[in-house]
Amino acid sequence: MRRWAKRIGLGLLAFVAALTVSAAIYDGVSRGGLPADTLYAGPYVQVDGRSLAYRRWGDHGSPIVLIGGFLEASDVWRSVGPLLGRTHRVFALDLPPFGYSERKGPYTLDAWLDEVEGFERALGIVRPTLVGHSLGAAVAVGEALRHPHGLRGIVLLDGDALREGGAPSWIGALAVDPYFTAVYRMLTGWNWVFRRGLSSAYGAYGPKLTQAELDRWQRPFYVAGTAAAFAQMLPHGIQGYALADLRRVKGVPVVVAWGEHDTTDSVQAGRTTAKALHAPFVLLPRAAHLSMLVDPGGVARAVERVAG
Amino acid sequence: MGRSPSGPFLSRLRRCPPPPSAVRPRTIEAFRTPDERFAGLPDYPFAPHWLELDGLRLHYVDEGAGDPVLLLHGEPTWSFLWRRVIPPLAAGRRVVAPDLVGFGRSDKPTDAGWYSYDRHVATIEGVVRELGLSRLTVVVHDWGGPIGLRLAVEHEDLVERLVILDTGIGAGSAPSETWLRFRAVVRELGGELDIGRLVAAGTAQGLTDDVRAAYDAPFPTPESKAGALAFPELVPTEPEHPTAAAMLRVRDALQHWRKPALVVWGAEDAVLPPRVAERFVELLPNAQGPLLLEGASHFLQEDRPDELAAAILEFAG
Repeated sequence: MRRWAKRIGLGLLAFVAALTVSAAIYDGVSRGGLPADTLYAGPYVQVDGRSLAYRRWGDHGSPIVLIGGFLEASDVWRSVGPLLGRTHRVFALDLPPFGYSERKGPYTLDAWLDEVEGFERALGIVRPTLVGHSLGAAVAVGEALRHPHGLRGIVLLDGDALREGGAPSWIGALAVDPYFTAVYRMLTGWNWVFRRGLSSAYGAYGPKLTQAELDRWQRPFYVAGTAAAFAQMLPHGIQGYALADLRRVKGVPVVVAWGEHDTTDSVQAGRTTAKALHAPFVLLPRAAHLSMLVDPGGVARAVERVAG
Repeated sequence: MGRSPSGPFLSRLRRCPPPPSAVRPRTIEAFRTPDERFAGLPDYPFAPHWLELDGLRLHYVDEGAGDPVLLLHGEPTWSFLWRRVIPPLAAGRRVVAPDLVGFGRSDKPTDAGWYSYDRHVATIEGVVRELGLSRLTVVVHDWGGPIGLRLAVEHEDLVERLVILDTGIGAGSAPSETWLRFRAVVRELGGELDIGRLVAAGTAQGLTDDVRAAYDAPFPTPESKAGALAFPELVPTEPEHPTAAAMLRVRDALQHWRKPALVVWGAEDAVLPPRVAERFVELLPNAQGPLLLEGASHFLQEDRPDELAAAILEFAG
């Protein structure tokens, strides 16, 4: 009996050792850890010792700041940006650790709010309309709570700004190298994972999932420090506010807009948030979660309800 | 649009109950659109129902059973407007969709002077009374708004909740520049007004030819359009307008109407822009919304019928 136990124990040990070695080798040879500027040419701006990537459109009119959600680089605004840019100065920010902004924590809501404010200071943006998509909606609400007079208004797009439980705190402890990096790189290099995620987020009317389209979404994962950043962010879960906090938003015009086929964040959740904020609720036809890439015209009109 | 001779279809109808013999019976001239104009309309399988009110024949759709939903159309439509909303609502509810006097399959007095805010309201009160409707969900659109909202504030015991769509109530000023252009077109064209084209212009998605024809169907002759031509003149564009006082009374009463209301709007409505929707939400103490439907203009029943029905169902429970 003890002999068998010993054999199984040794077998397991050998397996773990082999796994560790192969994970380490995989980490060594797989792609990762590239400087952001080799993946995205810019523009970048230095804010509090961090390099933040952004995009901009338009050169006149009241300013609009666009904030993407979880895993979203500022290129998700590539269709909406030019539409709004005809009559506004439009800035889309890569919220770290997404897109091409420097991977430097902490990745908390408070830190994101500081970054947005620093970004606005650095670029001379005064009293913008703040548009937050998905997780970015919480950032928009956060700014409305912090500086109601510093905003023309906020637009919540496919994001209810509410926090969701999040992972238990020990989950971060599981993110141990070399396994975590190996698993991270396998998943992020795997087209199937992206195809599945994107076809649900785009719905039936999104852009075609060509290799070029998949690349757009995969490329930011190769920025140096991304895996570690995700490990650090994981225990926080989906950050946001309580419904009672939303009711404290005062004196800031709000519009909530939603893709009617959104399954990532339900239309019902959007209605509840709109109600708590006493905001108009705009339902966008055909669009799912990534409404800005399916119905850019509808999204631009919703933003202009606030931005003018 | 065919212009058939109106003579054979012009019926002389008594408006009032038989008066005392000393008084000469008053009659009004009304146009009755021939039934064959309504044959084979798309998505409109509903059996006709009729009521005789003040000597005029009134048509309504009556589908399903349960707590009633009253659907009130406005200018220049008829119950056909609700055709894609009626079936989902009628599963579990009684849906009543009348054609206002001068519209759809209802009789159409040919004298534009017949039409007034009070008379339209009296007609709908008549429908509610004759059919014994109570515990009502009233869904109002366009001119159905001033009519249905007045019903709600004057008969609060009968109305449980309101759904308010692309309408307005008595501000004593023109609703918008686009609306003023619309009124100018109506005045200029008069009996030559192209009703189907007017409805199509109020949609974001456009109308197919057969649907446009269905909006033309009630109005084969110039004099059949008196009701449609009268409506813009009844909108109180200045505080001294004859309709203004009555509408302002309704609007004031709505500030104290504490039952639930839902405001749904076409996000691209240029005649009654979404800011009007926001004012309704501010006006009624227990209003939800506005829910703004992108891809929908003034006639949101044409542009986004499924989403509209879903919103009403969710609200009405």
